Amino acid sequence: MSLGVATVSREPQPALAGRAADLQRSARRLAGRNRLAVAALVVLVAAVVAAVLAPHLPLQDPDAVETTNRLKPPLSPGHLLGTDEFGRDLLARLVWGSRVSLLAGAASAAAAMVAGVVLGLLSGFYTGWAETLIMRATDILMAFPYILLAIAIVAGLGPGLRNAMIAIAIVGLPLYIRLVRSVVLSLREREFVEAARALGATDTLILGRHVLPHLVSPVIVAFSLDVGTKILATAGLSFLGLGTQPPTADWGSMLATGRQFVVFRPHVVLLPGLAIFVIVLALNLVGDALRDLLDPRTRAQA
Amino acid sequence: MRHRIRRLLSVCLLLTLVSTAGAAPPRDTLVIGLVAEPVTMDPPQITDLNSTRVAKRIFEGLTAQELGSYRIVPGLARSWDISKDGLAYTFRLRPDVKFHDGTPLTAEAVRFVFDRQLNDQSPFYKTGTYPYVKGFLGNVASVEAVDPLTVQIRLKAPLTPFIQYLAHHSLYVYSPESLKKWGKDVVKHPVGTGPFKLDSWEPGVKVVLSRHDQYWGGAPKLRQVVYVPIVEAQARLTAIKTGEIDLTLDVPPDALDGLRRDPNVVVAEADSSAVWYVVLNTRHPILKDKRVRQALNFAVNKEAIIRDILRGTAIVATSPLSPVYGTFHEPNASKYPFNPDRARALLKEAGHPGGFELTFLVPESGSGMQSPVEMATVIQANLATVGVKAKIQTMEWGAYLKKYLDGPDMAEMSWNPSIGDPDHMMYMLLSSDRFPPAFNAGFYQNPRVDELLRKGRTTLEESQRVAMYREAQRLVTDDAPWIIVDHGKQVIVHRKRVQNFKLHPNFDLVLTRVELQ
Repeated sequence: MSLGVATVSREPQPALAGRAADLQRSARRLAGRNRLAVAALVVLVAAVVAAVLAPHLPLQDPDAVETTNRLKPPLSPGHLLGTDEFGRDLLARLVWGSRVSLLAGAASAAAAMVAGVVLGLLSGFYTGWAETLIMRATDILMAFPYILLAIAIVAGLGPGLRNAMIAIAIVGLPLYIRLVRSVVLSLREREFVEAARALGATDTLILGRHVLPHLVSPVIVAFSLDVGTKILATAGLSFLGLGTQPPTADWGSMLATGRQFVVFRPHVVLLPGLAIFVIVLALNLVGDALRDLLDPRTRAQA
Repeated sequence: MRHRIRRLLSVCLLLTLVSTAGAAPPRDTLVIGLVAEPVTMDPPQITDLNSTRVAKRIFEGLTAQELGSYRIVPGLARSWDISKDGLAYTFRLRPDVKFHDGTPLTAEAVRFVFDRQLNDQSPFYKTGTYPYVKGFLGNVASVEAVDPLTVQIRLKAPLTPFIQYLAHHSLYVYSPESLKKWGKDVVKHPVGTGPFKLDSWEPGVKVVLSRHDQYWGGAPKLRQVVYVPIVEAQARLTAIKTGEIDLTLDVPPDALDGLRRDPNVVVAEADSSAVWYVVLNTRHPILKDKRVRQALNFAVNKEAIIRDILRGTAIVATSPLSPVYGTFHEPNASKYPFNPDRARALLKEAGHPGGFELTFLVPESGSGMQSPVEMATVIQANLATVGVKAKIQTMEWGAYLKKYLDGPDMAEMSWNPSIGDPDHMMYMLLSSDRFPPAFNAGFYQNPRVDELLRKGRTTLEESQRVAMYREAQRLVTDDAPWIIVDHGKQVIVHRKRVQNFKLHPNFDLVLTRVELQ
């Protein structure tokens, strides 16, 4: 009997196809209500496109040093956003820097996600030493302040973007491990899992076919919110001198070197700061909207 | 009644807050912001400038440098004789000088101090490592206490710079009792004869010195000196502007114009004997060709670095010895004005028209390193235009010094000689006798240069020495074992209340006559 209000289904969703159609309807409804998220999505897409197309855009060489041209303000001839302390064009450095920041953020989040999901699945599905080992290791990771642990790892591996990304991915594992583990724990004892096992399904089949689909939405939401955090963390490590090395343009190191000019040439530090702010904000807004979209509870109320 | 009490309490609170705000140092304490923490207070073991800046207030040597120049004047020895053959040096010590622990300065104490470094059979030899002993005392045959106030040092062969060496910090005199008492830990418990003694040392936080009232030269005016390590140039700048510290150095060059206009602050500048360079590994398969090294010198735009990055706080260097060395400086050394075309031609001639890759070691900061990362960025860009890809690896100063002596392809270094004899710099850095762990980090070897530098040390006649060092400079600059960039000027910034402060050419911060307004 319909009450005019959609009821929350208590049964696990068996097929993804039906969900897709469902999602499309909800997405359209939400987009109508959430202009900000749509704008954020547009900004993100534009940033990604600019980053990908950077070599083909009509930009100056981001590494071309011309010290007689240093610290020119925005709207100077030939330099729309001005130049830094080495005379390098800031617009070019921002765009090329976006490649580094976006890639570093997305890649380290992706690495953390993949490894975290696997470890979370294992520790959620299996009891015994695997679970204990993974959970205690996660506890140890979480006991350290985030940035300190990343600094320690980079100090051991040596400075450089690749090692910074590795450090940030490691430090970001607990988020995914714990998320996935909690979902798996709730599903482990359900009837459909028992049924599948009774029919002779292997663990891998159960995990892959029956458990994994339930993880898709929470992990996607966590990932989209996490990319912003990872971008900030990479920028933070670069700021401390532990990420990219000169001359690579990167928003974090641009912030670090631009600091000393904040009094008389603020644009050198403001521009990369604004870039980080806008991208991370956009990622957060899109992540929130995704969560509204994919979380069955909020979707039901839409 | 309650209203009155409450009002009184809030006024008291307000007064306390107001009085503690604006953390200015007390009237009779000088606060100095150093670039890095001192590492050790044991004179023969000190290699870094920040340790010397503190240690030279606590210890003294047999000879001293006149403030403001490299002229040798009496130190703990009030007079001395050198034998005609240059082999025997007889020093007469000042009477009635006591160490900070009350023990007297005697010839036996001096002998003990020299013996510790020189004699590997000495019971105290193993209490440390002595990076300068071979260079400064390698020629010493014996050190004898002739009578309680007379020391005789005999050399194996004449060594003209020797009298200058005795003013070097590694030969400063400390209390033998302190070494017997502390052994290895004497690095943290300095006991000398100087105008200040160590009060306390909190590692990473501050070093506090206090006045030695019985100093033989007359007690200094300052009651206390506090050294704080402030690694970031920006932070040093802020601290001197707010008055949190009284004196500092190595502020960002871009800030100097603003500081010169600031009425509360004095910017003091002086030429120095420092040289900033990039050492090249002469054993590297590509860099071993002289033409490649010369090409790198032509590729780097030194004038632009000095004008735009260093904001005029240096002069272009054409030779390791700056003009401060007077007649010893060679004005006709091989010069490398900015010429990328010439660089490319040389690279092509050497068989590398397409360029090649190098790893470029860069410290994040360090004593005398000026703006190491910024300068490295410009050098990297300059080299890239002639096809040489330098991959920068930055690291913290302490870790950097270790890797520097490990045969890097190219690495930055600055040498601020603390004594004024040309031998000190050229022999230490360019003689093949001085391969790592000493400081000829590029393994530069030219037999004629080696010969000249060895002869220059033993020749007594000044005009002959001048000719030798000049020839050595011509050879070295032609061989181009370094990308030689600039001679940094000393720039010290201090508050107006610091009076009587005079700059010294070896970057030391001499405080004996300084007073606070």
